[in-house]
Amino acid sequence: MTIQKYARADSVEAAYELISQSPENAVIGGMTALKLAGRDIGVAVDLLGLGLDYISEEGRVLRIGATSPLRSIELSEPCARACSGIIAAAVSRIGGVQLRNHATLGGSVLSMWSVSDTVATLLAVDAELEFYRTGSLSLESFLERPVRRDILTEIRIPDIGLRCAQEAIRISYLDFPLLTVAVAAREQEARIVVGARPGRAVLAKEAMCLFSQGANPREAGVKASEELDFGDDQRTSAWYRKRLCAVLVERSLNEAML
Amino acid sequence: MKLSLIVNGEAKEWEVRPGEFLAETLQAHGYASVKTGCDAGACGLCTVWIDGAPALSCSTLAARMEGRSVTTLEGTQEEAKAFASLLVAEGADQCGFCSPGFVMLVLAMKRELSSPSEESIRAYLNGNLCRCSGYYGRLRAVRKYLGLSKD
Repeated sequence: MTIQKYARADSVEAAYELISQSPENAVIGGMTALKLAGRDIGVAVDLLGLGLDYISEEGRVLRIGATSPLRSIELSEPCARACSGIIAAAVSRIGGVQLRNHATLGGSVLSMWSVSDTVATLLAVDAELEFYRTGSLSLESFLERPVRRDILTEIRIPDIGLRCAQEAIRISYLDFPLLTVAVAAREQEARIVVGARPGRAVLAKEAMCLFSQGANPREAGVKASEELDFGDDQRTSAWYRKRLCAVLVERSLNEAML
Repeated sequence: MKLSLIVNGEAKEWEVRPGEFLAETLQAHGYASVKTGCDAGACGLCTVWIDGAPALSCSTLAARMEGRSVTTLEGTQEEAKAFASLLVAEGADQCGFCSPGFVMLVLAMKRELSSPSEESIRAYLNGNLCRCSGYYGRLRAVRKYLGLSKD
């Protein structure tokens, strides 16, 4: 990757102006995903020092600044309490401590990696994203129609009281998952998300509907495995992912409903 | 562009390129302990402390270090000596290429974890890869360093 110029923005507005000037200009977060993408950048706009590094609990809402390092989320008590602790647990599986000290939650969301446990988890808890110009929109909408040329300022978890569970299968501890499942339940309603299919995380809507009509976790798991598409890659086969899906959804629902 | 930072307690003023990463800058100024392995944020060889916290210098823009404090193994010689000798005693140094980053991570872990368990030690250290010593010698050295193992 190359960077022509580095600029530390003195406000979110100034950062927005800079990225609006050229499609080659880009906001840098923790630099981890951006470096792997190997992009050639005109002006690298740094949000460091803009006060977007915070975690706060307001009633049932958890607010996380977009530049909050993953490590601070992992160690945060409000994050450990929220949604059965699945957000803190999901970020703790990303790389080593050193990487999590500078990789940011905003960067994890915007990179939209299909193998991301974090994106799957945030989608399950119906996270909302706050952009400087676009305003707020759900992560679900963002994944379907990503916002480019804007500044992500905050990620919000609207209900920290959800009962949640997240399951993933990996070949080794630090590897990307073969499949990742996240579930967020409220009474007999549940949002069921399956990621690393190897396509991006999506809601298993038919399984969610079936579960809300009284189906048991096993039936919901089978339905999720039937309704979603799975693919082959170097890690495993579509056949195996489909079977994992049924088991992990069942397991997650059972855990969340305990 | 000009960069003012503190390295191992000493104020520095360096000229850096906007796209230059910290590992490259430190290596160019003679900090030979800073290695580069995967150059993608996975292996931990390039670990230094930024404002006291372990970070990957291969994935950190040097320009972001303006006004901040960076510590390399050269700046922790005394503190590192005790652990380094345990690494050698356990036969866990081997080629030694990953050792500087590993030592920086272990010293940071000792400060950060108040009562480390086997599980929390393994979780903390999983971001530093070694391809020749295996991990058991390292873990024995770590346990002794933390006072968790007597022999």
